[in-house]
Amino acid sequence: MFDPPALSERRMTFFVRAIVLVADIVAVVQFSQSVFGPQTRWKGGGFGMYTEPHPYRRFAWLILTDETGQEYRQRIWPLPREIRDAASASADGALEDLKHLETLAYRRAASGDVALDQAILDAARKIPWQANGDSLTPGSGEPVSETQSRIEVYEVAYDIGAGVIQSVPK
Amino acid sequence: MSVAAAPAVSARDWLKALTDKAPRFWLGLFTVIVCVHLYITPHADALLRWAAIICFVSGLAMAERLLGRALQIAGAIIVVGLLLVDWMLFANHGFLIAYFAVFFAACAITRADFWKQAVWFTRAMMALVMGAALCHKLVSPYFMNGNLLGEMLLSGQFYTRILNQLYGGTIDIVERTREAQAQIHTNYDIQSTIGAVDLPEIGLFLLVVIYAMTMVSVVVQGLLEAALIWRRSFGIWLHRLIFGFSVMVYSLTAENVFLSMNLMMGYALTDEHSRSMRLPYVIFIAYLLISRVLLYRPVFLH
Repeated sequence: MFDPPALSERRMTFFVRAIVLVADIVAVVQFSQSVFGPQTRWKGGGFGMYTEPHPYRRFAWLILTDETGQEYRQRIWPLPREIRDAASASADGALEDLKHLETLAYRRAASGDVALDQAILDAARKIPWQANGDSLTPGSGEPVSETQSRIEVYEVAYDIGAGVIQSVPK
Repeated sequence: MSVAAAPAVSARDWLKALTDKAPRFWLGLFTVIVCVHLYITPHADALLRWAAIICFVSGLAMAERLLGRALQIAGAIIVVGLLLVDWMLFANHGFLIAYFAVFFAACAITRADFWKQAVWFTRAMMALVMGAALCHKLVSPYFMNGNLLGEMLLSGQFYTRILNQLYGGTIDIVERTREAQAQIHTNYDIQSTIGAVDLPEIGLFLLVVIYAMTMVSVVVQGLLEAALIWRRSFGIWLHRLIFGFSVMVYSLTAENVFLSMNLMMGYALTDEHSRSMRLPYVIFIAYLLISRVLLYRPVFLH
């Protein structure tokens, strides 16, 4: 039987305290990022869950404008089921590209990090978007010829005192 | 004593380990929690998750061998790796699991006094979790104004049927709230331009329930933090508070893995005066994990 190397009581105590110190630092950093910035309290090691709306209540929208100035929009986080179904039935790889787009959009919504917008737009350009009224659907026909694109994120929150559910840009 | 130094093989040994609070039994509880957590974590890499599960289970089975210890360490490295790759989306209880995985990995390579270290570590981690959660609640206007619990109650996440027995219109209010919520969730124009939809009239009774629950949860969280700081003064009441807090949270939301971690930490903090709490802790953990895997939740809590 292997006899483990004896780490002295003092060294083990030091090591255990180091783990706690790291956990404390992570919690403090995450606390400040979520209280003074847009990072969600639900994730990231700050232990602030159940104090603000869940990231599932943050909605990321992709807005494309074509050469005529017509705007098209699609919610990319959380992704509606019908969009996922349309991607499955469309070109090869569209579903994988869509899942990648959704993951990026989730990260953007949860963190509030606008630096992710460019990566999201690049991921969105890989998907063959078709116009469907003023919304977008992945498909195999003529794609929307985009001239401008942007990402918008809104958090939907309750105000019990005022009796409303309201949205706030994030 | 290292975790590996207390081998236990039969069911009788495991039952004895439960009442004696053996290191390997505690490692077993942790291993099961990790497996359920990784099994249900949808965004992390599937191959690495299964590799970690195999490492933790084999590490537990061979805890007295060199290979077992190496597997425990490998499991901890994978869990920390998964966390570092995706920390922004990693759940808070996932962080707690990663800290404990590192702690167990350290124990696997040492001969330090296991329970002395484990009790100190557990108490520090639990005080951090409860203290941070309390601070977040106190500085969050969304929580303190009753909006968080109002959102959960009015969207039918808990107690709808029970409250409907006391206040007849509750189910109707929940249905109309869900309609309003679906409207704003799916409509870009409402989110970007109009900015709000009306909630149905909820009445004084539900308003009082929402504010009372908000205040009770802050008080319980504060009491729990105080009990962890002054553990000896609170005695067995610390465990009653941990247990009661876990039951209360479970009745509100299906946070089974987080609650299992809480109860596992409560188990580690038991001593000769509070050993009667060990069996309830283990039964509750087993119930939470089994019901999470089976996606079971009592109907009367909806």
